[in-house]
Amino acid sequence: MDARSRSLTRRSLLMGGAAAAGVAALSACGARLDSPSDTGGPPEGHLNLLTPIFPGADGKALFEQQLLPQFTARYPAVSVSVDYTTYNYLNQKITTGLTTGIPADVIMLGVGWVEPFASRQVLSELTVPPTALTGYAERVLAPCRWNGKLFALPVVLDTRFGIARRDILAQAGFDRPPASIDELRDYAIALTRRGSNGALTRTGLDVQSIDPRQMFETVLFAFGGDLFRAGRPAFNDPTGVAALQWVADLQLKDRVIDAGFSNPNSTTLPLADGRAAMSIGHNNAWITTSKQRPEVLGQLQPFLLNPAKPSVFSGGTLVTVSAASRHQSAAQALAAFIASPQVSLRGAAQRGNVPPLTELEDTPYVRDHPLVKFGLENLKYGRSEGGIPAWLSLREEILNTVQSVTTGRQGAQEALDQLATVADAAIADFGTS
Amino acid sequence: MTASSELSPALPVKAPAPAPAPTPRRRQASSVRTRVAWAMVAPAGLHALFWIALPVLATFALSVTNYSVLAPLRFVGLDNYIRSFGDPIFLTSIWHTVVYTFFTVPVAMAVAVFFAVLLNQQIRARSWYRAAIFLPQVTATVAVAMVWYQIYDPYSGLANKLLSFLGITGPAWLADPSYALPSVIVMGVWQGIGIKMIIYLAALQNVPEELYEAAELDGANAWQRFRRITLPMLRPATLFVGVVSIISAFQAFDQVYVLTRGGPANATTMMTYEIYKNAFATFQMGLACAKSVVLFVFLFALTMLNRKLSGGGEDD
Repeated sequence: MDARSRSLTRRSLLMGGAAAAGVAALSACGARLDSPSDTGGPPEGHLNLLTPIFPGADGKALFEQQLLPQFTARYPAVSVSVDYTTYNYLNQKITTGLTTGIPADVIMLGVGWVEPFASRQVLSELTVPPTALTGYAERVLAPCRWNGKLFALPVVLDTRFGIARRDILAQAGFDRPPASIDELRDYAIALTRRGSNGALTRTGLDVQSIDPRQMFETVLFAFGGDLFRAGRPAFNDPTGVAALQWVADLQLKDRVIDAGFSNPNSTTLPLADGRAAMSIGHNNAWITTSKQRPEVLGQLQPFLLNPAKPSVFSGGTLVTVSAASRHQSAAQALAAFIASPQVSLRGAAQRGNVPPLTELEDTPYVRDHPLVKFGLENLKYGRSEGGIPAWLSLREEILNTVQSVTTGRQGAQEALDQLATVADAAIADFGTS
Repeated sequence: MTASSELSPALPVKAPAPAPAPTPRRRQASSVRTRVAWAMVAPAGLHALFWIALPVLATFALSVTNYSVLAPLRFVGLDNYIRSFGDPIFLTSIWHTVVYTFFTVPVAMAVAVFFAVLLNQQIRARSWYRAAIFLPQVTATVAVAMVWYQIYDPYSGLANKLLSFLGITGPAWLADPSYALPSVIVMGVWQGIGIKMIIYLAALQNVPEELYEAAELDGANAWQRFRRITLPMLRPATLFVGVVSIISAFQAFDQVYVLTRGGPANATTMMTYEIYKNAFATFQMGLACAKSVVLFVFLFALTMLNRKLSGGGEDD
């Protein structure tokens, strides 16, 4: 092969490579190149739905055999394919959908996710009459809005608050749950038990059975702190630092709980089997306990961590419509159906979640599940994560910040200041990109 | 220089007679053969183009952009690389990857040699033992990691139950930053033994029996035979296993994803996990591509080392 032909080959290879990369890069941006084909008219077409709820065979059967037929009976020209996933894989599903330019028409996502997607025109504004929103507490709708417009509707909620074992408290001489943050710490210390070899046999306050990020946020809100104010980090102000230090002290100073005592993936709940006297827990602890130790269900007592500054952590699953959907009216109709009381209630019942509509307070499901009832009754104090478009760039980092403080690797102020620096960079990035 | 000229350099070479002009039938046959050849190469070629070349080129191209799925593409030059090397967590992940590799590869190789030598003997149920040791290799890493997740449970896991028989209170293996990475490494060692053992076993079966017989006649004991014959004869296999295992260790992901998600407090995060996190958790695809290129450079260097050590480049 002579020099000229080698050079030509190299050049053509380079050009081919550049062209290929260009094609790949363009296809990577395909999501925004599509435009909806219908802008009104009767709902029709084939829709793809991406959902992290209705898990397992039971969930699929419930949704596709009992709930979805109600929708297709009402809209016979609309068919629906359902893609089930979990929150662990939801990011990947959404990412690949957007990258290939074929996102699902209707996407169910978490609280805190609307701002990033709505601000980038990934989601369609929902056309819901204001009268349809009267059944929701305003704090429940807040995470559904971006720039004053509604982009999502709540389907099921996940609330987190304090849960005590009435019987264990009574054995220690406490006839009521703690009534303040300071009292909560005193109770936790008094209720902790260790064996003769120092091994923890019962924690006074289990802070490990829910995701560390959401546990910290629950405490932060109970302290009266905020994640962000005016689009800037506020979690590293004195209140935020005190909240995280409080959590770290429980573990490192008061030795109320040891590292690895429990974890969010555990199939058993320390509160249910008596290895915890109290916990910062999730409303579905009722369902878990009913499977694990039904005889102690009556002993579970929910409480606000700090009644002086009442708050419950309010996360959940929201339903949205993709801006790239070619069947907007059908997608909007499906979103409204999924957020309707009958679907919301059945979805909540399947997972032990809180239905977001106040009108569902007087249903057998809510009445029979005191933790769900407590969550629903206290949605007026609901506080949610997210709030800034750059939230998704930050949420993973909070976990490591909390862990680095609770394992004694960093002080609360130092760790939260570092996190604030990351947050500022993410916010700036999001603003310029 | 061709092989034939090397073998007979002094012989006079007769100029070849000009080839007869191809007949139309020959030309047609040749053309058919060419088309068939292209058709047979095409599936592999298309696969290489669309699933290897294009993604690799796209990764390089996107690494100099701010690509985030959500925002329009913008050229940012080397910003992503500068950010990557200014990111203490990514630097930590590189260090963890090196530590993981440093411990998993040699330890697993040593254990694999031990088992290979053992299972090269005429012992009862040898095939069953071989299969048992190879089994982790053909089991999905996620499933293996789930089992180890249970083993490491500080309260009900097998590890601490065994320690409790000795009167030792075991640690929170995966929740304590001091123990988390060693725990992941132990699982990596265990899972890596099978394939290494199979390669060593194949190499051992190629060692001529006469060498051992001669050594025995000379009075060499078992240890001397192992040290003076087995180990030197395993050298080519060791080079191959070593470099391939290092490359594989640099790509470790599943075990971290299932066991620890990079935690606690980033104590087990690795390069692949940071890339995943940037791409799918924080949607910073451009940054993830830049980190992928950094990993690619590591792997490329290791592959070149492999070629050099195994003499792969000599016949090019």
